[in-house]
Amino acid sequence: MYRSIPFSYWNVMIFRLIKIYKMVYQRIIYFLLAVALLSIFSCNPKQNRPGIASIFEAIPDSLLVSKVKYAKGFDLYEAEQVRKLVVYHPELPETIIATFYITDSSVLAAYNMSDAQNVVKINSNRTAVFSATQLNAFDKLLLLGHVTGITESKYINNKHIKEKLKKGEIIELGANNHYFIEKIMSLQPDYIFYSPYKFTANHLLKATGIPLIPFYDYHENTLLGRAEWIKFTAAFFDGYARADSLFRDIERQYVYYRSLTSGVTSKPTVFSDKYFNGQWYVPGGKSYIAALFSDAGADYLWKEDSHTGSFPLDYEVVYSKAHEADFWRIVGSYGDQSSYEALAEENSLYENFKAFHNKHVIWCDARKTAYFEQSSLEPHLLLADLIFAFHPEILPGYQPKYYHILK
Amino acid sequence: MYKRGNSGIWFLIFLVLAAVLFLANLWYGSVLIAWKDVLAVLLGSSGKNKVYEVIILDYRLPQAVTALAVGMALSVAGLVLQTVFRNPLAGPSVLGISSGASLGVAVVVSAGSLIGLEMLNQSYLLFDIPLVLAAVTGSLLVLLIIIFVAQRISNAVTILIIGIMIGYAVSAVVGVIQFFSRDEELHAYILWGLGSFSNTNNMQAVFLLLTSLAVTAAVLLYSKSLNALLLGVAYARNSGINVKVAQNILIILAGLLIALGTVFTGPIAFVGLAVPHLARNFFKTSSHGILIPAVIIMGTSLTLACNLVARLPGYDTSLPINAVTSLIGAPVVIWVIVKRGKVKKA
Repeated sequence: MYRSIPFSYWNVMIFRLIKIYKMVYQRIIYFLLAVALLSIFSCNPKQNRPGIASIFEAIPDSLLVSKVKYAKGFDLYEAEQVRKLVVYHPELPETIIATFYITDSSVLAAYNMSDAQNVVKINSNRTAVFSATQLNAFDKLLLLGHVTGITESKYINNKHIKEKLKKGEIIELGANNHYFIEKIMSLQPDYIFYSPYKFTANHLLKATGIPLIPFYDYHENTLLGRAEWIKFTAAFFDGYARADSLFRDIERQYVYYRSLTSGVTSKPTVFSDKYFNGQWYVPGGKSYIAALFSDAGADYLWKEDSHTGSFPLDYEVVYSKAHEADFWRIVGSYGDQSSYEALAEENSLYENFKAFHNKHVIWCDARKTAYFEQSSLEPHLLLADLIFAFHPEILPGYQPKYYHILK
Repeated sequence: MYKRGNSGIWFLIFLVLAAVLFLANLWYGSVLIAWKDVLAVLLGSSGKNKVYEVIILDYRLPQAVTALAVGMALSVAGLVLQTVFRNPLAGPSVLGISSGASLGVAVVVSAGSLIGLEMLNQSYLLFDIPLVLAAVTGSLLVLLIIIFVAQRISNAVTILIIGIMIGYAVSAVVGVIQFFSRDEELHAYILWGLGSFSNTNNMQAVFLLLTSLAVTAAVLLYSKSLNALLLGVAYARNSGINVKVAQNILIILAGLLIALGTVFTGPIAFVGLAVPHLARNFFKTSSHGILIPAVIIMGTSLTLACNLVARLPGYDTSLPINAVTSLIGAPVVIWVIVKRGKVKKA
């Protein structure tokens, strides 16, 4: 018969085995640790120099202050002749999509450049700029000489840029929403400022192999935030101080105009934009248009809404809410004949609004005023124009630039 | 299969359905209005509420009338094309005729800026005339090519494939025009291309309805020729019909209807193809004397129902109409084809 070994015997054997294994494991772990430590301290001359990011890592958070005050889309830090530019995702706040280190080549020599794809040479003379609002910033910063390529030249109003296009100093690198990839590659700009509608990691321009720098000023939901992107542009060049003083001036004027409406007691109601092919795109309650209305001392009808951009509504919804509104703001273009007749011709449904009937349409001719190209750096004028429309008594004799009450 | 169904009852049912859907189009929308108020507005007794008046009379009414007219025009055109080409899959969009109308519109829209006219969204009928003419020219041009091909090739499938190819080619030309047009025009054209019943005012809607009715009446005069053509060209010739003339007139009428059904609303998918099949299924007849009125009421019912679905009550926005007609139209066509297959097997 088979006789079983007593339980206690197995117990002891297992205990011993475990002890042996433990000893083996310990030795292996010590050995690995030693190897790891040795490899860290072994001299590797390349790794001796710190990476450029270390400059900023060494500074405690409390001392590392961003130069950005209003804009949510980027942060800018400066230390030891190096600028660190952090770009955030336009739709997911606090999510970093790119970090750039901008500096001189003389500074670069002191650092390990293994992470060089994020390092940008300051003062490049060959940049491509694909956003009209950023081109306007280049002009204001007297930096147009650094631009060699642009897109959609037929929409550019700026005289200086038009001249350079004629002379061939600036080349068109895209039109009608298409990039001329081969032209871009033959021009070889040092980097491209681009401005896509949506952020995608795999942009078409990636094929060129040229560093891409996203410019998302239009995603800001305050006008001052949008204007502050002039610092973003300036960060890539010397003479950053000019951007700083320009912006400070914009800010000072905007705050001044805003203060004028703080005592306003009667706030006229206002709605915005117009109907097109089954949809009426209305600025959201958290958009910069809504903020502008509020700063100008008006009561925006969709101020409770939570969208940061525009959203579509049916005509009847807009009409039932806004038919009694005091003012109606429109940015559009009818060539030379912007008038109430032109509006009614476009859609006879517009005649039913009280603001139309009372001739209280606040009109901005996008083409004539170059609104989309230039207004982002003149938020104080946009504000003053609207204050003059809503409360003319506050700014007697004021001459509006972008918006005026349609006659 | 071709025995006479009880068409009288079906006429009554669909007539009531179309009427109910028309009223529902006035009643339902993004803004909730009680039916009593709707009635008061329609009877002209609501002096106090201007908002409801505007929403119902100036916004919903032209949409409903437009949906009605377009449903009628496209369905009758589809029926005529299916009979003349003796092809169950013929239709305004399949044969590239809608694309032809679109090409006309695209040309006028981009040319409009050259002569200083903004062509889309004009509420004066005067400005619509070049647009209508261009759409008619475009659709007839495509039809002309198809007739030219059909005279040489008798195979229905080949003609269909050629029609589809012409559609692609015309769309490509439209794409090239778009590439060279200004942003605003492009924007206007792209939105027009998405299709919508809400681009018309009352005047345009009534114009659309009256012209569509007139052309449809002309088609009705040819219902005997259509019946004969259905049985073959030889049969039609033997029964004393001038086949060439009848075919050409019918094709021109179909082109007119398609142009009308496209010019204000943009191309509307599936209606012209699906409705004749639905009508044949319900009315179980091939007589055009019955089928033409049948596709009129069924086509209007379908577009009115689609417009209602696109503006579902309780939502602040409306869906693009083509998404709805395709979602309803595509299963209908599949159902018809599957059912036909079963009947044939049995």
